[in-house]
Amino acid sequence: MEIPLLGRIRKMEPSLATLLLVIVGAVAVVGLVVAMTAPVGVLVGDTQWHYVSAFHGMAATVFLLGATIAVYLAWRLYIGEIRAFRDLKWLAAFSTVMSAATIGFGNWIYIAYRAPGGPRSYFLENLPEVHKIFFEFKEFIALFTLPMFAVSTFILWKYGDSLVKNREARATASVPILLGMFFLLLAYVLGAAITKLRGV
Amino acid sequence: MAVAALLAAWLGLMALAITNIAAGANDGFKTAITLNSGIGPYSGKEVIWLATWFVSWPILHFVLRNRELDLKKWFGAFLVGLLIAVVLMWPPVFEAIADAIKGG
Repeated sequence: MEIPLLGRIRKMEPSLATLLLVIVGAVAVVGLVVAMTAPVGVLVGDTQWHYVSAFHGMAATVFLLGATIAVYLAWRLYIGEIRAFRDLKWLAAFSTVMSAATIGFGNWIYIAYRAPGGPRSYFLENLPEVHKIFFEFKEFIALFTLPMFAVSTFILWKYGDSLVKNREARATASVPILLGMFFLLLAYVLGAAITKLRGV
Repeated sequence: MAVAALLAAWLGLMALAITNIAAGANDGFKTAITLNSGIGPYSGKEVIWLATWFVSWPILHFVLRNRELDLKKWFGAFLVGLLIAVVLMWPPVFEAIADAIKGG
């Protein structure tokens, strides 16, 4: 028996308007926090590395926001019930760009992480397993997000909505997005944990 | 060509995994791929990863463009290959392989 509410939720799909609203909301929350903790230096920190670190975390968070909606639409594509196909194409492309930006900022902040007296020295001295297992795994698994979202973006844009009719093509376009989200979550959680233990 | 895109992405990640193991097994190679002193050998690993991915993609695209490929089979191979790449990136695994190569 079909439950009316579940049926309605199942048919609902986010749109670019939803994404825009989410981003405006996120920016508003960030703006509020920044205003409440002004000057910005108190919130972010007062060195160059604090700003690079903040941009790395912010890029990862925006990536996470876009990828979350992309994952939902990818699942809709996988089960063959997608309507907002155009939104999925744009969200996959957006996530690919944000993955590249996050990796770029990650490389930049890695300089501070490795610097003498930086978090790496601290971890190797006090908690070697944090660097040797969690950080090393995080730095590589984060790179896996880029090819996953890039492959899906390529397939979605190259074949367009013609792939909706083909079950294998739907899986090939949507599963890498799900895997990319899995890698993103791993890197995000490990990155946040490492930053909490010892920031730059 | 979806298969070319999948295979190129996988080849790039395997190149990353193999480069990482080679850097752990051979100090000379580790020094050679240190293209930036700030981020150390990670710089060379990323360059090799991206070069393998972006060079192999057009080559595979050209080679496979007129072939009838079973998408289901190749996508399955991609998933298995990806799992292997992830396992090879797990520090206890890649360190054990590098140590075994060093010891041998």
